[in-house]
Amino acid sequence: MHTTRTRTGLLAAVAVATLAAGPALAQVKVDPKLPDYEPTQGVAGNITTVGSDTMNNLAALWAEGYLSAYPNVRIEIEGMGSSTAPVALTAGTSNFGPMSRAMTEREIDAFEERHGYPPVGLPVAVDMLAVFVHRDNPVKGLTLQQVDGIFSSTQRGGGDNITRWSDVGVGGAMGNQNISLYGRNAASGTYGYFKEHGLFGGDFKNSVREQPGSSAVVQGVASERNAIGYSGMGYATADVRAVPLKNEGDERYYKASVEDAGDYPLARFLYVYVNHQPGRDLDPLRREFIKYIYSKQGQEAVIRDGFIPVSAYVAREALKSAGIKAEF
Amino acid sequence: MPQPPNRSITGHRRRRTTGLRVKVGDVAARSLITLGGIGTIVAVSAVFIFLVWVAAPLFTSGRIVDRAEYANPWAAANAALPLHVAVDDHNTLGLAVTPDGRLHLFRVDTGETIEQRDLFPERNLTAASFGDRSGDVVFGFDDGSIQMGMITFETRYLDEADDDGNPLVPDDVLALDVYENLAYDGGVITRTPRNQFRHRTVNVELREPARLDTPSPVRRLSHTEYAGRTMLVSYTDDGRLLLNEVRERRNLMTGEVRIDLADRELPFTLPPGRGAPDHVAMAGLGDNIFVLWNDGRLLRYDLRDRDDPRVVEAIDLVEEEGEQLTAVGFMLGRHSLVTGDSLGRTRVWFRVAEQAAEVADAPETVDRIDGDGVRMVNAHELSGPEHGTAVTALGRSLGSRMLSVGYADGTVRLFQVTADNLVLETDTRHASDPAVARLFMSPRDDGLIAVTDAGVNVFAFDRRYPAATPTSVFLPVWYEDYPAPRHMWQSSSGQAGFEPKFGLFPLIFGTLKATFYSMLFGLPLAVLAAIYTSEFLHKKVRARIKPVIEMMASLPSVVLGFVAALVIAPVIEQVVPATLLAFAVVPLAALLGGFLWQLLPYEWHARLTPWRFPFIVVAVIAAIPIAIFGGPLVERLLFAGNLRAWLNQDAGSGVAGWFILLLPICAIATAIAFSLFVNPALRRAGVEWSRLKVALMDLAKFGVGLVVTVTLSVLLAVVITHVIGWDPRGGDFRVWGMDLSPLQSYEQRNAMIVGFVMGFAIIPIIYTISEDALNAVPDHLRSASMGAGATPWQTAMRLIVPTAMSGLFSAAMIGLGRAAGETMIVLMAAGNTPLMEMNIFNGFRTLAANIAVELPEASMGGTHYRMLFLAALTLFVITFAVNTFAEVVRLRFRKRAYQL
Repeated sequence: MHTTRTRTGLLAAVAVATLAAGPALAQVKVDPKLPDYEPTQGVAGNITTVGSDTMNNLAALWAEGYLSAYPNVRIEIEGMGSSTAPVALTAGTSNFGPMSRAMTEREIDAFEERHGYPPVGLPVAVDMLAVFVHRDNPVKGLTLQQVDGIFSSTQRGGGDNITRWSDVGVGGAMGNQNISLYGRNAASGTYGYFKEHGLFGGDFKNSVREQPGSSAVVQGVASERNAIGYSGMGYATADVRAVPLKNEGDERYYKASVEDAGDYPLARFLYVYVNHQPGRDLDPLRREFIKYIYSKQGQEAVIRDGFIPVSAYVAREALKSAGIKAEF
Repeated sequence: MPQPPNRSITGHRRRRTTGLRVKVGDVAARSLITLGGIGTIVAVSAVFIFLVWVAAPLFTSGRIVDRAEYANPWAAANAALPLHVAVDDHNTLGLAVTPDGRLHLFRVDTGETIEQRDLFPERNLTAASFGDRSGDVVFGFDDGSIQMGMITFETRYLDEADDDGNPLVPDDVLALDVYENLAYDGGVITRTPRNQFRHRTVNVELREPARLDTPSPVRRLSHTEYAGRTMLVSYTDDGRLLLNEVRERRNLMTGEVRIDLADRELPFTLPPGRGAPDHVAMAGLGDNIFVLWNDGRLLRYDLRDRDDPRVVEAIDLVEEEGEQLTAVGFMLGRHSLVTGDSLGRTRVWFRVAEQAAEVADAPETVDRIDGDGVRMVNAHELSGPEHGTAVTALGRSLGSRMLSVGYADGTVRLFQVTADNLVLETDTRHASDPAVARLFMSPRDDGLIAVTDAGVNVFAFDRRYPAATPTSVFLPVWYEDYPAPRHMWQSSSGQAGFEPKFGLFPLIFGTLKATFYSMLFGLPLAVLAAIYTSEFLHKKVRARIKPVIEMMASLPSVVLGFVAALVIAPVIEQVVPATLLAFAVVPLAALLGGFLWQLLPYEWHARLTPWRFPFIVVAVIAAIPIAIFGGPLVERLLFAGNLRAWLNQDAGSGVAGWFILLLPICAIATAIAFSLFVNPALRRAGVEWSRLKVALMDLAKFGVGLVVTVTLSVLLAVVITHVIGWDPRGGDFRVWGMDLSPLQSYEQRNAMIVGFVMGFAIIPIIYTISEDALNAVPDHLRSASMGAGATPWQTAMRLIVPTAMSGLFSAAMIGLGRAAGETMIVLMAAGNTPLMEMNIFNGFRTLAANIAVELPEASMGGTHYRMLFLAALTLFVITFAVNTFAEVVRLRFRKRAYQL
């Protein structure tokens, strides 16, 4: 299996994350109501997270911060796609399941069948799913209907099937080229989210090349002038450009940036799922990790990885749902 | 002269008995080998049996595991049949909303009433619309008002006792066994396996009523929630069709909710001779409204242009005289419309693009008002127990593509619609009044609630794996939104209403395509290399070359795949014309080198013979710059200056494509023709000629051959393109959904790249085995042939190769097996697109790569998981069949070789 690719080493992941944080995000601030993280006693053991590839770097950053507070803890991070998270969490082979989409009812059912209660999903960051093109591509913006026409074989959005760049208003030599498609594999939450919101629940074209990771998508788009692909905006590089998007009927295109976060059509929560038996307390190891995620440090890591942090309100609700008392 | 019996030539007595050591060794070796052989067979059979073991349950049919009947819980309150019934996801607590506006809670297993509540004490309910698992509802009243809300199941977990040991629940609850239910505190309580109690209750949350733009009673109501807004359509007594858009935006940061309202009256006039519409239904995406009458008339509204919602299609859904629609519903996702009729047929309709040429089974449109480019087709027809038994109820699954259908005679059928699979059949047990009036499925697809006038039937069932049937796996299936049945693989998605597409054919096709192109590149190279090294190369050089080639096999395939995808593919993409040219120039250069070598005077020739091999290498290397510089020229000459545009059919004609494809075939044909007709004549005449003259004539013959080949291919290409009219760039060769055209749009990761790189994997194997086979041909055959005056070429081609054919054949077959099962190279370099195009310039998805990609996400024991095992089994069967065939053929060749 492709473990060499996806079982990201801590160091490598951190390096990538530092590169990926775009300058546009420099002004994003963590909600000042979130507390500083304060280490406590008695935290030791192994943490395994299995799940989203989009959140791989983020998990690595959290792990790094958590380890500096608790050197005795061992953390293993595996990111093969969001759909691997429920499977591992249900089987008990992981402590945390980072997912770039919410669990489906089927997945919750499978968990509940085994454990008798549903898993708890903690919204930990906001991601904007970006549609990337090669940096030399002049396309100004796309409507969701056009995105649907480019990527889907069903065109539920009501647009036409789009195979050439000239169909979306690109002129010149570029216009004559066919559009080459990159996407994620079906295990990915990004795949599922994009399918539901970008393709109106329709099907991907068979010609979308399914890449095992978000960075592979960006790399593919960077290497082909006529390419288009989607992944979390945290993976943007200098070789690709995120296309501004809008819904049909909106006055202007919205960029995948913080200023437009409220209106950008493909903004979503990123989650971490945890097996929490209702009415019981979490063990200190997991409890402290969750508290770390919702601390100032944890949310700064979110910014560093190119995502948008959650507010104190969301953090408080999330901590409550995992049976942790929020002291802020 | 006969020898004396007991004496050998040496004078020693010959031992007639075998020594003990030899005997022991013999027995040991024999048993070890037997054991090993049996072990191998057992191991292979065990793998096979395991694969079958996991995959076989896919094709078992569902069954009822439990059932219960009881009188209608709402009958006590004198309420009519409910508008809606829902149960929680453990099938413990049920709720029903009856037309009088009351909510009834009851135990699902016994029917015991827990609570009854009047939801609208002051108003009269006239219409209602219920969402799926989310629990969203809209009610309509006789004063023209509507009320939106949520009716949801709530779950609480209780412990037996608190930390101090004080019991938290009463004794009768404590006495429960695991999974036993009890009505408790407005709901149902169950003991979980974790020794907690799960308490289910129902939570009703109704918003403030809102007024529609009319005082008239609301008769029909339908709504959907999509992308944060609710679309609501209502038909009121005064004959108006009203559309409301409720837009809610939740700020991700603050959790604040903004609500926008927009209402609009839809253009609607009652058709002559018809009363109020019998059904009004809003599609799941809020983009269409279906208005139906029981006589089969359907009006479809397109809402996508918010400023101009309009009727786009008016059709008749029934065909026969007197036929009536008796039930109307949706599939999960509210995208496919389901109609049941008085003749017992259940039909599933959805919209497909009109211009798609393949549209079949579309009903005649009575009245095309203003088309929106799509039309309704009847994709699935599910038959009832017998012709003429009316469909009386439809119940859609809340989590999959299943549909339950109830009939007038009490029969209940459960279908998996995508696969047209009848999952199970049962019936209600109310002899007096069996007709199924309402039918609802439980959230987890494990229970059915069939309501008749007499009572409730609850069925618990095991659905098994209904999405996979032998026909749906291997034959085309008509999936939602597609204009015709087709082969597809799209197995999973993080989406609730997703229709999984389990067609193995694209993967099998991908496997065969990978194998074909890999063998196309690898096989000739490997076999010719083996013939060359074994028959023409000096022994010393041979001893060095063989290990070098074998070393190629030591490269891990993941490294090869990595290099192919990230290094080779981007580079080749820049130089496609040069690459194509290299295919022609490199072999030509080698041949030309050979002919030039012949021009050398005899003395030089004799002296330089050891340098022949380096000379050819130099010639081949010299061909590469020619290919690189000639590439753009060829592109301009053949492909109208832009290969990609040419491949997209934007420029040029198909002639160039046929020319390329026919070139190798014509070259071989010319070579054969020359050796049959020209060579004998030349040979006879050449006896008289000088050495130089012979060499020159040979060179001239090569030149003529070249010209003939090119002319022949051009001629044929022109004939095929312009006379027959075929284009090699797509469209003209479609068989069973496969597109066999070999030259189409260029993708960076494609079959050509895989073919190149897979060479590293298969060439060493084929080469080694072929070389061994050729070497195994006894030297006396070679000597005899040479002694009779044959040249080394004649000896190799006419004697050695036919003799070693069995070995060469098994080499090829082992290479084939390797190529078919290869995973990493394909996974990384082929793009994994499950296409069915023979195009050498695009990707594919093989069975092996698919298993590697998808197994981590497949939940164990599920349909997807077992489908992957079925894919593995298919791969196993393919390679097993190939190997068996190869062995049979090999034995036949060997028999022939022995006869020599």
